[in-house]
Amino acid sequence: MEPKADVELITQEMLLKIPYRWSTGEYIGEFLQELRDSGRIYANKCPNCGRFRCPPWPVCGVCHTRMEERGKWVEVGPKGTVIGFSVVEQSFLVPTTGDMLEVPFSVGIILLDGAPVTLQHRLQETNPDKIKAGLRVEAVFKPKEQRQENIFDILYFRTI
Amino acid sequence: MAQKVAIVGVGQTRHTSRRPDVNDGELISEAVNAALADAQLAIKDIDTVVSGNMDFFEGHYLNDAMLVDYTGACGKAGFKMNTGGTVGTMTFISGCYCVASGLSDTCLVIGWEKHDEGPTTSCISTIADPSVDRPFTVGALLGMALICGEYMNRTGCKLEHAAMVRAQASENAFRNPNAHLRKRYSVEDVLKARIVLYPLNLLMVCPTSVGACAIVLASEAKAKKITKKPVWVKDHITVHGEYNGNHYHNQFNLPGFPRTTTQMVAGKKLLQRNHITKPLKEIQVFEMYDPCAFVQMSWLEDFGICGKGEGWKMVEKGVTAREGAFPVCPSGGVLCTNSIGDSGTVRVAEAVLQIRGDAGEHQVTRDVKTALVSGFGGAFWTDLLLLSRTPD
Amino acid sequence: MGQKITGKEPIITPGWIIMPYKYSVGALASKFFVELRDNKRIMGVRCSECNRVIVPPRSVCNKCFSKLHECVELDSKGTLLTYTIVHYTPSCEWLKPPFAYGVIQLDGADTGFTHVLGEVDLENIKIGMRVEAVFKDKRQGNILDIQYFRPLASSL
Repeated sequence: MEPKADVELITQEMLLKIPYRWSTGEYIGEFLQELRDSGRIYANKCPNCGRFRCPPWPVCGVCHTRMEERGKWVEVGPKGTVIGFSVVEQSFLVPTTGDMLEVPFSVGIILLDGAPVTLQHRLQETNPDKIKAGLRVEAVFKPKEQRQENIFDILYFRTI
Repeated sequence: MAQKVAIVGVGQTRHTSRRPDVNDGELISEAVNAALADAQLAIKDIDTVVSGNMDFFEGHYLNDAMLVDYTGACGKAGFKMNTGGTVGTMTFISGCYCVASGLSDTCLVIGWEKHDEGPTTSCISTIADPSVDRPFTVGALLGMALICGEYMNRTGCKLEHAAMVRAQASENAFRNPNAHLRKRYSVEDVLKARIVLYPLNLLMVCPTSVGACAIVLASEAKAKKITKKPVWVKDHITVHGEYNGNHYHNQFNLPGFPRTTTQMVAGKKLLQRNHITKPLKEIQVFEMYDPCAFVQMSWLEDFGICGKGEGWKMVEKGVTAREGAFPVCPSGGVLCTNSIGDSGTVRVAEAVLQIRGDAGEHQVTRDVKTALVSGFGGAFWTDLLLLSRTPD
Repeated sequence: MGQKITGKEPIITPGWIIMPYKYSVGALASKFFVELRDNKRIMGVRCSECNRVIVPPRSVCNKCFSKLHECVELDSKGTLLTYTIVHYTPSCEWLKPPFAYGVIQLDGADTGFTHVLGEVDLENIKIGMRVEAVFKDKRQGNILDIQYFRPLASSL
C-alpha cells in the first residue's frame, strides 16, 4: 500500500525494562573473588596448546582441552603493555543502566606481565595522542573495603 | 555439494534511515514481492522459507511468528536465523543447505532490519559477558576500532587510506539506487568527519539503515526451467572464532601466538578447495561485508586475495574501484548501507546482479563470471561464498 | 556435570536490560489507530480474493498472500470465542490478577480480536457471550484506547 501524504503515521513507544540474574559461573566467580580478597589477577593455561585465558576458563575454545585447574592458576599483572586501545568520544545508551555512557571513555587491550594473555579494561588516560601500542600500564585497585567482587574492583589501568 | 543450487531471483527495497510508513512485515513484503517477480514465481511455488534478522534490535522475541503472513512461511518448512552481522549471509547459506540436501526444490531467503526502531549499539553491547566484559563494550564499534588500530600499527596503513576507501564507496553508492548513504565524499571530506571513537570517525563506520532483501533459490532441474540467467552457488564456508571475552586476542600477534582471524581460515580453505591460485584474476568482483573503512584493506590480505601489507596499497592504486582490476563493493558496501538483517543478503544479491550484468549504473567494467561474497559479525565470525555464472 | 573448582557459593550478578524502542505500525495500521483514537471506531480490512474481513488490519492476507488495503468499519460488538483467567503477575505485566483475556469475533469480522474483559464476573464468563468495546475517555492511538470488552446487558 502506498502511503498517502495525508495519512498520519503512528509510531508507538515501548520501554523494555527487564530484570535479570546472571550466574558468573565458578571460574569467573573465583576470578572476581580474588580481585576483591587478594587484589590479584589470575589466568589459566591450556595444557595442550599453551594458550592462556584471563579470566580463567574451563575449556580451551580453540583445541577443546580442559584448561588447568585452580591449583595451577597463574598470577598475572598487575603491570602490562597496551597492545590495542580506543577512546570513545560519542556517547551511547548503556543497556544495563539505561543511562548514557560518560565520555571520553578509554578502553585498552592489555597484554599482562607473566603470560601471553590479554585483559580488556578501562584506561585512565583519555587523550588518544598519549596512548599507543607498547605503552606500559598498571592496574589500580579500589581500596579493599570498597571492592564489590566485580570487574571494577580494578578501577582502571594507569600509565606508568 | 550434494545438489547444485542456483539463484533464480533477487529483490531488495531501497535503503534509508527511517521508514515510518511501513511496519516490519510490510517492509519484508516489498522485498519478497520483488524477488518473486524477478523469478516470475508465486509464493505457492516456494517450498521453504528461511528468514534472518536480529529481533532484539526491534525489541521483539521470535518475530518470525508475528511476521509469518508477510514472509509467506505459513504451512511451509523453514526457520529463522539470528547470527549478528553474518545473519544475512548465514540465512542465505541455510537456504542453500535446504536445496542442496534435496529436501527442497525452491527456497525463499529473506533478510531485513528496521534500525529506526531501537538502540542498535546498546543492543549489540549485550553480546558481552555481563560480569567482566559488558561494561567495556560499545556495540560493535569498539572491536572495530581496536582492529583498525592494529592494522595501522602492523602495516603502515594511514587514516588517509581509510578515507580513500570511504570516498570510493561513496562513488559506488551514488550509482546504486538502493543504497542508503549516496552522497559523494572526497578524501578531505571524510577526514573532517566527527570522531566517534579513536581512530574511527562517523564516515569510517557503517550507518544503521532500514531495508529488506529477498532471494529465491532453486535446484538445478528447477532453475533451468525458471530462468535463462541462473547464478550458481559454487561453494560457501562459515568459520566461527572463539568468544575471547571481547579481548580480541586472536586479532593481535601475541608472544608465541600469531594473529589468526576467521577471515584467514575461511579464505585459505575456500580458495584452496576451489583451486584458486590467482584470485585477482580468477575472481572478478568481491562484495565484501565491510563494516568499517579499514577492514576493506586488512581483510583483502586475511582472505588471501593479496599479500600481507598489500591491502592498503591496492586501494591507493585504485585497484579496488568500480573500474579497477579487482573491484570491491561496487554497490557501496556495508559502509554505505547497513540494515544488519539484510546486509549479508544484499551482498549476495549485488554479486548476482554483477554476474547477470543487471547492476545498471554501478555495474563493474570487467565481465563478471565469478564473484566472492563475505559476511561478518557476531564474535568476529566469517561467512565466505563463491558465486558463478556457470554451474561447473 | 562440570567439576567443582572451589565449592564456594556461586556469584550471581543482578542486572537490567533497559532499552527504549519506537515501533512503526505502518500506514494501514495507522488508519486503524487513528480511527480508535479520534472516532472510537474499529476498522478491519477486506480480502476480496477470500471474501474475509481481518481485524486488526494487516497488509497481506495470510491465506492467499494478496495485498490488502480496502478498509471496512466494524461494529464494536461481538461474540466471545474463548477466554482465560490469569491468576499470577509476571514481572512485566501491567494488569492486577485475577483478570480475564478473551478472543472476540467482532460482528462483520472473520478473525478473532484479543483484548481484556472487564465489568464481568470472572466466575460467569461464557463462550458465546455477547460483548461490546468500552473506550477510554482519553485515547492515544494504541490498542488500549479500548479499555476492555464488557458483556452486553442483554447477555447477562
